[in-house]
Amino acid sequence: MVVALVTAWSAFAQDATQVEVIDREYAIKAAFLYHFSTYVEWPPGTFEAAEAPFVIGVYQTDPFGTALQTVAASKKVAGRSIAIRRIDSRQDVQDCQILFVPNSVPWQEQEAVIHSARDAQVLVVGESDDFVEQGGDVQFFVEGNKVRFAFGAEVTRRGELKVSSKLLSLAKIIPSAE
Amino acid sequence: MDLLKNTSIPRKLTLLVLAAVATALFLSCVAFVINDIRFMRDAMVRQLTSLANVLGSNTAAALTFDDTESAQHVLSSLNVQPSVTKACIYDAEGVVFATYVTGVQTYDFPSTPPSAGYRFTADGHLKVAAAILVGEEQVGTIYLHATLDQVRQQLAHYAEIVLVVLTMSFGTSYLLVSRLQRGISGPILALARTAEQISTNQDYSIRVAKTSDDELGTLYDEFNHMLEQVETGKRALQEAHRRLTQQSEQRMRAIVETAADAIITIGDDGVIDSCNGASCDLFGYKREELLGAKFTTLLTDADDMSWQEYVRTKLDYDSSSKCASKEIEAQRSDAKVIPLLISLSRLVTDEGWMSTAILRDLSESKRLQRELLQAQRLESIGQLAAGIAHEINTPMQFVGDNIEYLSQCTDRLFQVVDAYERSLASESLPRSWDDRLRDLGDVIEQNRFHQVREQIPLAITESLEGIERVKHIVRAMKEFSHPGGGNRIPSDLNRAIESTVAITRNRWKYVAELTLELDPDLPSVWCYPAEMNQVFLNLIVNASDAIAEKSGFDDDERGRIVVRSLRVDENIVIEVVDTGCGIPEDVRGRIFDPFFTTKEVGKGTGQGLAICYNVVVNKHGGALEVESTPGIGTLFRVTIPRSRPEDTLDPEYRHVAAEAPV
Repeated sequence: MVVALVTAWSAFAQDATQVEVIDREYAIKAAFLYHFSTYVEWPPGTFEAAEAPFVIGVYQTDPFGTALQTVAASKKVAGRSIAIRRIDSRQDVQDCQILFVPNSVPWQEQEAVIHSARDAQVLVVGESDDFVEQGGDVQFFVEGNKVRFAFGAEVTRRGELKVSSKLLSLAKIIPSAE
Repeated sequence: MDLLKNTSIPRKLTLLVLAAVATALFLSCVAFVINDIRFMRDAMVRQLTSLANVLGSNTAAALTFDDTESAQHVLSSLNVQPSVTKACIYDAEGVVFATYVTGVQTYDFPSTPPSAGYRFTADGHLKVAAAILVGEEQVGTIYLHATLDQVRQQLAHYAEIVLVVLTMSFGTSYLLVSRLQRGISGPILALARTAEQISTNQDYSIRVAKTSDDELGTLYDEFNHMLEQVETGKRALQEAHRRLTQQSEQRMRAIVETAADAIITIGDDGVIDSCNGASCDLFGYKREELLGAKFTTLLTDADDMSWQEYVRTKLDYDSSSKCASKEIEAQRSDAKVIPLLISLSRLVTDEGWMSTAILRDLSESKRLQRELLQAQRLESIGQLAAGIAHEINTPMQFVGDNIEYLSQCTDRLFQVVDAYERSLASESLPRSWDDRLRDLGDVIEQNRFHQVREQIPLAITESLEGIERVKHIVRAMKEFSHPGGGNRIPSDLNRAIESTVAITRNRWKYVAELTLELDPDLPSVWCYPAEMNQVFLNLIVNASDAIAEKSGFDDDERGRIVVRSLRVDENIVIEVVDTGCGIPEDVRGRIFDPFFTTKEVGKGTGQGLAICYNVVVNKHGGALEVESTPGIGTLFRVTIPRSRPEDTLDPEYRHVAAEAPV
């Protein structure tokens, strides 16, 4: 019955839903970015000071509007407040713990960012196709009207970030191209 | 407890123990089961809560990342927990996020997540809700339903176990108790049997053998002791009883033997079984002659009747086994006939029905009765004598006066006659007829000859009347006191009444008017006139006395006496009615008893009405009734049968009636 209702609902207001999902996509992605912080463990010494905020960085262009700011204002990560920073240069990627690379960033630039963050203790999240295949850690994708995410198989082996199995069990695991 | 009252002691003991065992076992089993069920429920709550927590923790990430599929997947792992029938996960906003339902269950989860905790539902389910936390933050709620089938199965299982345990314990206890209770009930039953045997055989020499030294042993000892006392007591009692019986028998025999009345016991066949000394004296036979003889052969009117028939027809025997005293006649060995008073009673002995006859010689009593009657008659005549003398004296007085007057008249008459004679005879003196006539006239005048001539016939008539009155009284006296010579003869009761009224005149004339209302066609009656006169005399005298007692000799308030005779069917009825003081109710039943009187000492002997009763009822077979209202008056009614009812007559007078001419 519920299935039937959902089907009827979809057929009736497909355009509206499409619009809404697009509207809500970055709100969800903002929430997901925050939630990743609870399932990933950064190595000790990541933070220089005890009061240092947990930093979520957005590379160059910010597609979130106020969504990410709203999440950051109301939540904390392991007692730390959350700071949103715009990262404009590849050299600054190590200033944050999670780095989001929007789709609007040119593909070559994205590859360059992935490359420069390889040795940093930063969870690099992107949304372009093949982002994980190119060495990114996490890649959002939309599937069946829902925002899903994929993890590179390498992410747990690489560096010092420990990703919770609970998070991995929800993710699509994509083997690295290399 | 009443149910147990009549069951035997072994059964009681068995039931008692079994009841105790059953109760104890049942209670402990119930306590055990209840405790276990509680424990199981607690365990189930704990188990389900931890399951909810585990599931919550496993689905927390899925909730966080809005991954229904993953959550659904986690929930589907519940299929290895058959007791969980339903599960549901709500997200942080309280919207159903993922569900799990086994085969037959339906989706009926609450629309908002229930608060954390557990609850047992009436339909046998346990429901547990738990918050899903990520760190401090609640990201959703998990809600589980589990059936209690497992608990129920466990309960059924326990019931089986309890049943088996109870049955086995019961059986074992029964076997044990039925063997062990013999130790207690055995001696009691043995005692009961012995007691029964003793009371059945009345044998108090039996003793019970003691088998133990507990309370039962004491009971046995006391029982034996009691038996000993009973035995001793019984022997003493028997001895005392024997002595008493002997004594009382001797005493009884002595009483019977020395009794003044003859006491004879008669078997149901009429044969004399025993008799006392007085019997021998009464009949003039030796004791050996009396014993074995038929009782009825001693009687004059026995005929050939059987004893039973005799008792029934002659003695008016009634069913209450008593016979009112009755007069009969017996013939002594010297052929003399004697009147007897017999009273008969019946009793049952070992040999059957017996009669006891108590006989009293009435010869002396009869003689005394006759003398008494005579004496009373003389007494009443004596009492009346003065009155009668007065009644005679009054006419005699004026008869005497009249005769004296007549004698004076005769003198004057003779003087007149002499004067005539003289005037006729004296021729010597020359006298004229005129002179002579003048002389005669003087003499007549002198002797009031005309008056004398008128008075003489009057005086003679008056005297004759007086003499007639005297003659009447004398005749009445004669008739009253000596009519017929004691034989039963046809009599004119009207005339008898008139005579009696005449001789009692002096008793009633000062207090009452006496009216006779006699039936002129009254037939003559067979009776003893002298005795009937006595009856009327007594009744009239009583009536006068009753009036005198009420109003004295007051001339203004004279009473009335009415003597009435009439014929009613075959009976003659004479009523004497007075307006006297009446007879109080409380003495009315005794007025016919001898020596009973309410008159002052010296005025009455108490024999009058007793004699009336004897004469009317016993001698004439009639009836004497009284009706009285105190203060108003009294009516005595004498009823005499006209026929010759020999059967109802006093045996003493029977032969007289038979001999009398019809």
